[in-house]
Amino acid sequence: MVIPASVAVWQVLQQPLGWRRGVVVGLLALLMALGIKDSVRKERCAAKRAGVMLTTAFAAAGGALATYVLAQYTPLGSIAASGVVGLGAAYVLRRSDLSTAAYAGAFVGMSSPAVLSSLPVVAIAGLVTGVLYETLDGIFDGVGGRLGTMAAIAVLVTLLAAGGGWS
Amino acid sequence: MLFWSLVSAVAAGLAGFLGRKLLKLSSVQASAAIALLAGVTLPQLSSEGAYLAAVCTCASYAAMSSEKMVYTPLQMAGVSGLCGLIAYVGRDCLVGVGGRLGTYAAAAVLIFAGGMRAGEQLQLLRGGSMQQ
Repeated sequence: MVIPASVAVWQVLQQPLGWRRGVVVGLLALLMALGIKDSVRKERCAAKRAGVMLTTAFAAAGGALATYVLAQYTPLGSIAASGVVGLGAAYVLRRSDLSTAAYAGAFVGMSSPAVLSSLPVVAIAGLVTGVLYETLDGIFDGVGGRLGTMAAIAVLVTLLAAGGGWS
Repeated sequence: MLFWSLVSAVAAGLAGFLGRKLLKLSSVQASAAIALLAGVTLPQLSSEGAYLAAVCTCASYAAMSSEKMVYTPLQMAGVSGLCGLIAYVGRDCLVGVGGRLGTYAAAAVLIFAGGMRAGEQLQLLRGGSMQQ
């Protein structure tokens, strides 16, 4: 949460803010800190078996690759592509618990080619999302946008690891 | 622009919330259906359609919140409105980074949770001062 939030806040603060907007942003940040304190679960995540983590990581990477391919090589666009992959995952993987992980991966696939430039990088970011999904199981459960935040963390970490950056 | 951002966010958030409640869709199904519908239709309607589709998708992620977090349509409308506001303010941030809209949705839900908590504390304080 902290990684994408810090980057976004830094970019917001680059824009000229009047004192009124500054007060509003500060107040919202205060409420968000209270929400984080209230929503985060204190207990440690249960240790995951390597097989479970691997399966989830592959599901997320599959979702990421499918969305990226649909978004870049068809006229659908990234938003509709993520919808197609989400509905497909919800149908195909309905008997397992993997549809949510695949949908988290789909958010990675919404990245622009200027950020994730090739399919192997998208796959790596998807794998990282799957690992994060299992590692952070139970933390911020029930908070909408949790999957997207994991995807954003995975994309930013993959960019940093690949020696890239963002402007 | 901000007005349409708020309107589309509230509509998408409520659609996701009611889709889960009334049609018994899973959170992934409800959110993906809204993303697909918004992503296909809105860009055809106006020049700002792509941005509004992103706002609708952001609100649909917020609608994936559990019933413990957001449990009435009015609360969902509030969270979705926050999503629309944050998406509007942050439209130039994290551009092209996958998961950006989800991060905005999570921020909106957490701000809402913080607001609820603060409201409860204020009510407790007010109740305490009334008893004294």
